[in-house]
Amino acid sequence: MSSPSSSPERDGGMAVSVRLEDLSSPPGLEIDPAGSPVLSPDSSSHDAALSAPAASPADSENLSPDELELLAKLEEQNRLLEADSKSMRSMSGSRRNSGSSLVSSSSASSNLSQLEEDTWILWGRIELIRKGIPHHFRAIVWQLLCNATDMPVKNQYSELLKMSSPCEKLIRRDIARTYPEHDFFKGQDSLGQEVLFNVMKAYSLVDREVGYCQGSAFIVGLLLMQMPEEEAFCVFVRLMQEYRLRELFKPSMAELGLCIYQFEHLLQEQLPELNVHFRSQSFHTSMYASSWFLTLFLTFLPLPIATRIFDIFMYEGLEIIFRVGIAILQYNQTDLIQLDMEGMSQHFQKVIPHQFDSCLDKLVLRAYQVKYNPKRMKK
Amino acid sequence: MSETYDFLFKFLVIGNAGTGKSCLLHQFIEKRFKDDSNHTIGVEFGSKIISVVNKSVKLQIWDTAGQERFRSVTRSYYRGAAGALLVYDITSRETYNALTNWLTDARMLASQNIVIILCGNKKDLDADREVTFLEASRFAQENELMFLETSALTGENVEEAFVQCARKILNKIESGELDPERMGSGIQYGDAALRQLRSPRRAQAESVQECGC
Repeated sequence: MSSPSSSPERDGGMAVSVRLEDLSSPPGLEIDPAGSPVLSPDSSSHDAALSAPAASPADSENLSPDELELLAKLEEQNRLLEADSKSMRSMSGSRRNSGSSLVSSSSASSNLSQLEEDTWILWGRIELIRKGIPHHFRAIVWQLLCNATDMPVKNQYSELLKMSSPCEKLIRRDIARTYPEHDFFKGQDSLGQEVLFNVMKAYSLVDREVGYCQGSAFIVGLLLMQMPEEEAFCVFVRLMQEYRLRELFKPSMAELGLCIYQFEHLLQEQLPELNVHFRSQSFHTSMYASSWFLTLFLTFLPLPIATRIFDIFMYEGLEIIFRVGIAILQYNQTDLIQLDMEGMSQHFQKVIPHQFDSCLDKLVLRAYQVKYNPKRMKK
Repeated sequence: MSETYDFLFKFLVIGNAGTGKSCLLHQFIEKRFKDDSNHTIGVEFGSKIISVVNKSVKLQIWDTAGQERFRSVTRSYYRGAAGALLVYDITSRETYNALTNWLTDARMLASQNIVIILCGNKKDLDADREVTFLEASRFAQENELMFLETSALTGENVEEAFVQCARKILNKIESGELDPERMGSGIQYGDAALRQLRSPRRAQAESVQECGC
């Protein structure tokens, strides 16, 4: 797996600094000439959009006064964070060394709550989320997007860690098998494995019905690459409650069945030939799409691109998983249609995951060109 | 792909989470131990052509997630499986105790004649053993399973497990007990389509090679 976007705050202690121009054009970003991601299903426009040159300085001039105000606020926020990250760094440093209690308290979140919710809706309007949240903002933005900054359950966290959970054994079995190639989680006594275990265990105690479900640790693992364990715990609780994840991970897994069914329906509607081919080869949707839904592409695509998708998921929910899924199939349709069941399995395992490595925006843009009608999905 | 084979068998690898199912499959296919893989979500797929009693057999193997709740996902893959590796971890009694449930599922959902080999994996961790060879062999005998202790780490008995299972299926085809042409048998003829196998048996009848179960 290609090297993930490991957290500089944790790994190297890189100072956080962001300038306005970074925000208006994150590195490598391709902006559609119209100034927003292409939502129209008109396929004739899509290649033009894909090959559009990188953002010009003029783009920031197109921002409305509201947006400019937000950027100013963010810059201010970032200065606060910069100061804060220093304290966080020293903390995580001492945690690593002492290996003692992992209770963390970040003052970042208290600063953050000063930002109003509309500000973040505005953030969405600027479309920065679809273009990728700048790495050093992910922790904050994710927390704000799912409204996880002021959760009472956070105060229970350290108590939960003292309790024992019936799922502990099960969780233990999976910890070393979650991002085993990622530096943060490597090694039996790594900080990563310890905090991952803590968060999974704490969650299993607050939600006895779901307890622990395989797959969810990849989501928590991603959160932990960006933020301390208490914050990751709160965000995970929110995702479970508000983003359909709890339904997906319940013991019956009925919601997964529903997602697969809905996805199949989209497939039939939008890629009918491919659908017929899949059927003729007994290539069931659940064979490839189960993990897409359960781990939000985190076990299927390399982390840099999967994290981009996760950014959008935080803002827009599960819809993006359907969109990306269809976009992937669309992109590969010509190849897949010529392969038998085994060939297709191979193609899914070996070829597709790295197709978008050199151009992360391509997949996101394509995903937004997929026709998706939320009302019809509800049926 | 220009591979030829006489038969294609559909196989399953089932058993509790963390017993080493994916590692067994990986060891079988790649001949090495993979110690840095993610836990399996849903199902994964692998295939390999082996040679068993002068026949080349392609195994199409479905590796499944082990957690109980994933059975709703993995069950649909049972249908039409000709063979299965039922895996437990010799260092975990819990995984051994779950075998009866797995067995019921497999017999109910796969083809009736599914050939199952019980694999006590992590044989290399003998110091932490919680399940003796003897009791597991008794269980295997009572339930008409073949049985081997395996190590995905060292590779010990891994190939054997797949080969023994395939051999037994071939024997059953040979003896007429299994009809590859029956729907859902989990068996297909390869391009080499040796249908003569079903005609009068040859002298060195494969059944002589009866596997030790």
